[in-house]
Amino acid sequence: MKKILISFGCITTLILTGCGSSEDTQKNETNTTKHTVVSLNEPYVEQQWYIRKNTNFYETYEINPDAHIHIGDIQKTYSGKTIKVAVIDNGLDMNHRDLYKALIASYDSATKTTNVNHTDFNEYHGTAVTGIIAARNNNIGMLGIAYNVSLIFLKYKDEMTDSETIELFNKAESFGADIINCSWGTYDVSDAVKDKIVDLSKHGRNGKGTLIVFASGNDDYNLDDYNDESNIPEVISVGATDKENLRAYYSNYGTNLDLVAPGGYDLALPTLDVTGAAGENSGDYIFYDGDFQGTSAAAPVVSGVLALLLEKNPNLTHDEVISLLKTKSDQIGNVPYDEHRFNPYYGYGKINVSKLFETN
Amino acid sequence: MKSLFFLVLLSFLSLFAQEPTFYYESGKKVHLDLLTNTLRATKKVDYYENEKGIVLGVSDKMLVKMVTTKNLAMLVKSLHLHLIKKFSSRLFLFQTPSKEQTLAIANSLYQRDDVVFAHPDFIKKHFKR
Repeated sequence: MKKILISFGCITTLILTGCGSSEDTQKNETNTTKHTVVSLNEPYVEQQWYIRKNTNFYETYEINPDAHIHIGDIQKTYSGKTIKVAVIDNGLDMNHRDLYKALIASYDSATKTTNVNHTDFNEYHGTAVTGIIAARNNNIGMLGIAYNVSLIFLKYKDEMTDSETIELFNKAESFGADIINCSWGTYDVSDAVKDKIVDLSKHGRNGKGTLIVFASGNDDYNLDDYNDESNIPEVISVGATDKENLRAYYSNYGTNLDLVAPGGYDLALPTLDVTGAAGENSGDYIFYDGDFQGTSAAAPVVSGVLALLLEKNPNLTHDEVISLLKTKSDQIGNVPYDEHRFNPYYGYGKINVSKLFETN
Repeated sequence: MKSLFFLVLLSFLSLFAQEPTFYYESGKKVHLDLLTNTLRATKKVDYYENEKGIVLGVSDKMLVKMVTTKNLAMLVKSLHLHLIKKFSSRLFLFQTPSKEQTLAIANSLYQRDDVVFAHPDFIKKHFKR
């Protein structure tokens, strides 16, 4: 196997010129003969325990060796380029240096403008959620799971009408979102909002179905008792795991939970903070000992992974993606899974990126 | 004949005289309790709590999805609705004559065969997770 490496700063272009010998290369060659391989040398990347295992960090904080998402070297080949991810949340630090040139479209439900900056800069939720998906690979800060994704940010109001909620999903659709991340819920989705979400899941993305990811919630509720957004069967409903690689105690569950992903407890998910003194702390990042944990953090982990998956195979339909998640997730936890590989506390298991990429 | 007329009239008036305290969601009737002490209530919005303890604001706006729009003009005229926005060929945002009538009008529409669903344009809190 011959490899020609051409470096451009932190980006290295790898041109495959012969028959593959490494397992990764063989897989990659089936789809394309030219890949961009990058170094992943972000200063705080070793703290991002949810993406990959750093032995020293894992030993120091006694993290289960499988608590991450088994991403391997996939980010060296796939980065979400060509994929549009919409984040519906409470505001974004539009000038964060680790989101440089990420934002391609935005809309604020309150002002009807494109300015989606946080109104209250102590509110960092939207920036933290976005960072897990889209933080750039630029030798500063942290690494988003899909660090080249095109970002659409849609700012909601804490208290909002159903028609305003529908409007945000319409905006995501009109901006061409392949994936929509929703780290929120109402516990009482109205028929009209549900209708819009189901319609987009079935007919969005030029008929292939938009992937709509919802956080299941942090109240240890059985969602079967609630008419929550994450309980809509067409939605990808995500619960949270912790550093023990077990369901986080707070994570909502039920028959429509699809899967779980790292959301943290004890250890937070390092990500972006609002720049400067405002936000979760006085810096630009939230660290492992910070305060960003929950299914809000688990949902963007899945959204980021799905962006990588769609980059590799953009023709995957909504139903095909769901089917892959159901069959390629890890059956963790000391609980039985039924004949359909399902357990109400874990859904179809914990996301495993390497398995998702085995054949797709 | 006269008594029948008055019976119909009475039924019609009672529909609007007192706001019903329920709505339809996913084919089920959901009961509501009017919140009289909420700080959020205004002249434009009444707040209720549903059976799950979720607080919902009801204004003079309503969302309706039609099976067919054949009778839409007639419904708009007879119920004194004002079209605010057309979300799709069959999904509409209407203004009702008053917030006090929104639940009653939505419920009456919900029971029609040519309506998929109808409910107030609820105001809800979106919880960060």
